[in-house]
Amino acid sequence: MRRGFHALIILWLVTVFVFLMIHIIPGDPARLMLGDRAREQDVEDLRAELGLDRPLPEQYGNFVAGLFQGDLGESIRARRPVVELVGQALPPTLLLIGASLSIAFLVGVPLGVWAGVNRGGWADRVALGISLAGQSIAPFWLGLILIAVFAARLGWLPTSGTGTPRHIVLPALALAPTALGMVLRVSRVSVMEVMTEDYIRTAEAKGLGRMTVVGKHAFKNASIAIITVMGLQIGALLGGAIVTETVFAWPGIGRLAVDSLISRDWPVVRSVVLLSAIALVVMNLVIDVAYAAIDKRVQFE
Amino acid sequence: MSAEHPVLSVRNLRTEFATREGTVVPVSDVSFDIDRGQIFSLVGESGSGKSVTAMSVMRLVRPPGRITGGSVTFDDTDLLALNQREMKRVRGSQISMIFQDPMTSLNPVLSVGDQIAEPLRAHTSMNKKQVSDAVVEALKDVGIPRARRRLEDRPHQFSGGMRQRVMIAMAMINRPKLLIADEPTTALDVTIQAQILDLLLEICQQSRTSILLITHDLGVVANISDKVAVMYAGQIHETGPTQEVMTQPRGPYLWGLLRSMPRLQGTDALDPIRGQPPLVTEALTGCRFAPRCAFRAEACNTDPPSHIVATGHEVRCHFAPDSEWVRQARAQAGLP
Repeated sequence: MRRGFHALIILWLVTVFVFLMIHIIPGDPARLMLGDRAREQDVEDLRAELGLDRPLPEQYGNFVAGLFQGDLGESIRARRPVVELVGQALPPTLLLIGASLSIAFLVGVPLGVWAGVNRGGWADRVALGISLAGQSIAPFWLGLILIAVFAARLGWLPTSGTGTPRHIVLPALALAPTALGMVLRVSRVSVMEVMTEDYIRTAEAKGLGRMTVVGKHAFKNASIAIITVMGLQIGALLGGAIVTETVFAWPGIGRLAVDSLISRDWPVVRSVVLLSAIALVVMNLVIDVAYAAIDKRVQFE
Repeated sequence: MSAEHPVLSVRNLRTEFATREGTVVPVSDVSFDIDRGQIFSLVGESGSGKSVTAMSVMRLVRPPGRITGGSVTFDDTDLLALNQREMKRVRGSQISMIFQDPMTSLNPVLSVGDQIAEPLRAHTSMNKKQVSDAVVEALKDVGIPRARRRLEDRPHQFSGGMRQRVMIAMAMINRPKLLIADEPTTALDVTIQAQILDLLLEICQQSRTSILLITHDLGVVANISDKVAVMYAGQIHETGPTQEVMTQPRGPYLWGLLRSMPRLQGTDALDPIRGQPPLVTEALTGCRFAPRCAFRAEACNTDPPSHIVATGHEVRCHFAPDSEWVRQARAQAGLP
């Protein structure tokens, strides 16, 4: 399991980086958090509370030891364990990313396959246009437009917040196009490539229908690339979620990150970055396992 | 030879490819008949139009390629007149095909058992059990040991020769009337080639399946085929019963081909045909082989008709009917 080993090294590097972040920024972390006008005594107290008065290696040791016990520290602003804050923010974000990824998959893949099979035709051109538009639109801008049209003017959907299933529609629609464009593009190209393979000719020579040739013989081979891009898009969606959640007041990880950054709630920021990194590393491992499940030639050492 | 209709009758077939540089015509005027149970070889250099002819018979020429003329009659049915659904019913059940490279012709992510079963599922109403039994039987027939245990294996778990056996099992599972084999042994080790060819012949003989064998191996042609057609630049240059054509060639192209074959006896250097075959465009006129022909004359600037020089033996050369000219030219070409 060399891949697992690589993943561990990456995670270790992330902990080091996240830990050092606060020390790399010029100035005293405690002072930064409390602001210029804070009393010297308060700064000293915070420093002691965060353990910043200890030697660096000892601080890092405590940080990692805490991680293993599921202790991410305490939020300075909310005065609550970071684990609790993150635990509350995680489900809405997963829901939002899941919804956006579903839209990207359900629309992007069929359009991409359709375009790839009809290379150069009008279907192909329409699909490429959609892909280009999707990848060019900024989620925050689309979010504001969606709010203006569907919430403010038409009143069909709530402007922001959470609570009912209707609340997720606009944020998911705002976040999806970037991933959709990418998924469409990759589906198109990989289907196009696969369609020129010899085994597609073999399948046609067997008298199989178009649906079987494309849906079974071509798609199963193309799906390797599609799964890869879906996995990578989760990272991009996580980034996009920061803006989208802020625009729609969606109580997820992204908004937590922004709020914490603004109020210099360092333990929270650090944890969010760390969790995102873990999510991406785990996602990559899942993709590798999926490869092996689809294509039996892929072997694990 | 027989009173039956030919299984496949191709007349004046023409297939064009529209490219940016103009229209290319890889198959411009091809006619031949294949009888029931007959082995028909189509030989020629790379790019002479052999494979496009085969794909045209299957109607699997991909755009920008298009069949623009002639007829393909299979078992009294005009294949070119069928709609897509009717044509699909012919492919894989009545006419099937095996290809040159068994490494790339099988789908890498599907199990071998599934791929062999597909023609059965597409063309018969067998249930699951019957299909799986038939697949095992087909694998046994092509000499794959422990067949039942290999159904779930992927193509990469088989060697090149074994994969070609899988291809044969797949193509023959519906007992087609015609098998098109496009250079079925070219990609294989020399030691395996004979085995695969023997297997192919044996299986086809059992079901009286005719074979359209595409190859550039004149040795194979001489050994196994009943009839041969030599293609050059999109046309059939010379065709006839193998025995007659290979021992009494009448056209300068086949003379050249036979002269350029290595022999065990004798120390003479090989005598290749110089130059390259032309790219066949619409603008091409005259005898297509003329630029490379050692015997070209004034007359070669006009299209030569196909002359019948003996029973079933046709040659596309102005001078083929002139036996005195042929005798002299043959002597000059070093042929008996």
